[in-house]
Amino acid sequence: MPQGDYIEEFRKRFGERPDLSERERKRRAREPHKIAATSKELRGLKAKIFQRERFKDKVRLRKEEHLLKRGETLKKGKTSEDERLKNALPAYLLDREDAVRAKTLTNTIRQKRKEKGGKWDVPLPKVRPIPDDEVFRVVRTGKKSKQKEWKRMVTKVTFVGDGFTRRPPKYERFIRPMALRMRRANVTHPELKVTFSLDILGVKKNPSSSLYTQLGVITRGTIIEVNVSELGLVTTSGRVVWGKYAQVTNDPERDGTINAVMLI
Amino acid sequence: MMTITMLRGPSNGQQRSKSAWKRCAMHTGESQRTRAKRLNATLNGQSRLELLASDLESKAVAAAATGDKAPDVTAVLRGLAALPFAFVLMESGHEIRQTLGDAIPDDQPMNAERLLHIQFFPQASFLIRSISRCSATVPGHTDAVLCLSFSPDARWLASGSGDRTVRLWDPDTQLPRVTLAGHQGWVLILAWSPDARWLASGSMDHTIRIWDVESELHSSHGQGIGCSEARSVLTGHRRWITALCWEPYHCSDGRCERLASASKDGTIRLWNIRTGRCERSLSGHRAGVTALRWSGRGILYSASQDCTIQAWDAQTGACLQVLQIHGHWVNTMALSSDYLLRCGAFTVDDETMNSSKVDGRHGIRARRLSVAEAADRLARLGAERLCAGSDDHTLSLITLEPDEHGDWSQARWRTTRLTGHQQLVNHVSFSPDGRWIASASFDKSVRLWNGFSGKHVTTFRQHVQAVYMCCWSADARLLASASKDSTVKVYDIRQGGLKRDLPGHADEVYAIDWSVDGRVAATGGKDCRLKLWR
Repeated sequence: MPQGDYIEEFRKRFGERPDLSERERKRRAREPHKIAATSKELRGLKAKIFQRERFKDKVRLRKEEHLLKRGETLKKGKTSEDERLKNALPAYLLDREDAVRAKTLTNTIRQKRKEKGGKWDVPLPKVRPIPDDEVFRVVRTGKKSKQKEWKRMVTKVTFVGDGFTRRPPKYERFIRPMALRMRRANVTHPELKVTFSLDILGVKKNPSSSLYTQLGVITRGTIIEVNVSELGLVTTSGRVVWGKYAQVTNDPERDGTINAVMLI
Repeated sequence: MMTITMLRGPSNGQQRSKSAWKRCAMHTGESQRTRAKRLNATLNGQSRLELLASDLESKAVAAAATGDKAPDVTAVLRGLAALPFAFVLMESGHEIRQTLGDAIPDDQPMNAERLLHIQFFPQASFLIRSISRCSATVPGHTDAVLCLSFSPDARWLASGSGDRTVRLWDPDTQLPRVTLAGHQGWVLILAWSPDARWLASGSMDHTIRIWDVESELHSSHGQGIGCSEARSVLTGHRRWITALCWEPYHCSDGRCERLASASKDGTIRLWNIRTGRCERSLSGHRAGVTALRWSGRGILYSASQDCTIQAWDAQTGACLQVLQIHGHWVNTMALSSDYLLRCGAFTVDDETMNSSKVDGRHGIRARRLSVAEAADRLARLGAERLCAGSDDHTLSLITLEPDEHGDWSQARWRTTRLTGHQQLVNHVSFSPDGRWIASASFDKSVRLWNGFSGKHVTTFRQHVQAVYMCCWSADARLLASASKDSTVKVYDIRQGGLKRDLPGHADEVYAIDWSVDGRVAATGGKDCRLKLWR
């Protein structure tokens, strides 16, 4: 339980107690005894964690001691100056680095479209094939129920395009439930480590079956096309990039969202 | 019947009051009386434009009789005047391109009582050909190119980069000439002295270095690429340098030895490069200074991130005015005389542009001016106007006038707020003739404003990413913009649309500059390449 800052409050009002420095000196002097007692007492994982920290401390101390002997000071890690010298920025962008950079999508990252042959250098090269009986549930329709079992309900997340019109129920073979239709995906740019919520344009390929691709079923490993027009990507020829492919990395029907990684 | 009132164009830009204009009135209603009258209009105070009123009028009458909307005034005047003119309807700001009828908006019906005020401006008699292709992509820099600047005589191009060097290029041969190394940090800003002898570079390492370009080029002449050291290093600032500005050519009596520098640490320093000393340190801003302009009248304007614009007396270092106009950082400033101040001791005028006399060795088209000529040229442009762009998404157009006794500390200032951008304004620039203001914003658009009234003229929405910079061609007919989306776009001001789309850079374009003689433009950006466009 947090007890508040009563000690600071006290010190502000009445000053430090007269024997404070003495008590602190004593506490410091007792510190190794306390640590030794703890390390004896601890068992199992807690002991491991404790010893790991203790080991790190000792290494640091030994290094410092070593350097002290040679009259040097401990070197700091990479300075921020060095870090900043990497990507030069003009004067007018220096103070707005964070604000502007977050949404950067550089053009040097070329868009590689390997459409031919469907060969993809994808983040998830192997996905579990999903059998039909997992995706489709049999829907019984009609009064003479036992006979008419030819309708299928898709139990996975689907993408249904804008231009879709339902067929007459009599001829409708696949039902894609409204609750499982999704239009947006959270797409991560792997090199920039930024995530955008982008509109889905279509399902390019579902690795399990071409039927799923046709139906727009989105499962783990599916390649979807997303709308990146608002990111302002431009090809070297000056045209605006509109659609880009991304691979789904989660199970959308379980998570309720689609997470994907952009293919570059 | 229609009345046309011709007014003298504001040849020196400042005469906004009606009475100040010389009226050349012509009443088609009183045709008998005025038929024989000649129209006299004084232009630039020098050349006299004589117009035969009857010629113009007879057309107007004929047009009225045949039921046409209006006569082709421009054609008539163009035939008579030696200089090309631009005619603008004063009320709407529309330019008359073909006929008067076309320029009048359809929703404003014409009638006999209506008085039309037409303003006319002399235009550059030379025509700059639009850049249309990338003539060279020159590698050399090993980090992003951050700033570019053509020398005032258009002979050299200097580029500063994140690799801590300044490089000099020859735009004619498109080859590198000299590498100026010495800075310890990114080179953020470059400024040529008005006589094109010195190059000042400001850097992330808090120093300014002065390079003697003339001797550099002579020493390395014929040896190909040379490498050299700075003439002097000016230290004093505590943060990086954000802006550099040389004293105007005529103010310094042609000596070109004073330099002003602004820094992120909030101070402005005045240096004398002969002595290498800091003459004054002006500390009035509470935050980093972002832009600096040394006006032709010896006033130093500075814009800062503390939301103010301050005016300083460059001689005494006294703060004359603190203008608190903006609600957020002021990012950029432009003076209506920027182009002339930049050209400094050189001129690219009708004579040099149209003559076929080209210097054999360098192909110079710039002619050297005397101090008096330079002062006179600036005086002809009239009162200086200052335009500032800010993070609060607006621009302001400021005119600062001294009081009756010429006392600048009691200066009166008028501001006009230019609203329309939806994101911060990153760069503004006045056209060389001071008629237009172009502003580049992070809302992906370039906007064009009237340079006198500040009225919005048009918006160019061609870029798909933030626009970083824009720059004008010397004849003020073309505008080029550089953007984060890796393209450069050229706009035609008269047609009001995109003229050229110039892709080619592989990444963001940080800097663009069009040489003062308009032959070549250069761009540089994050892809470390310098591109020359012709």
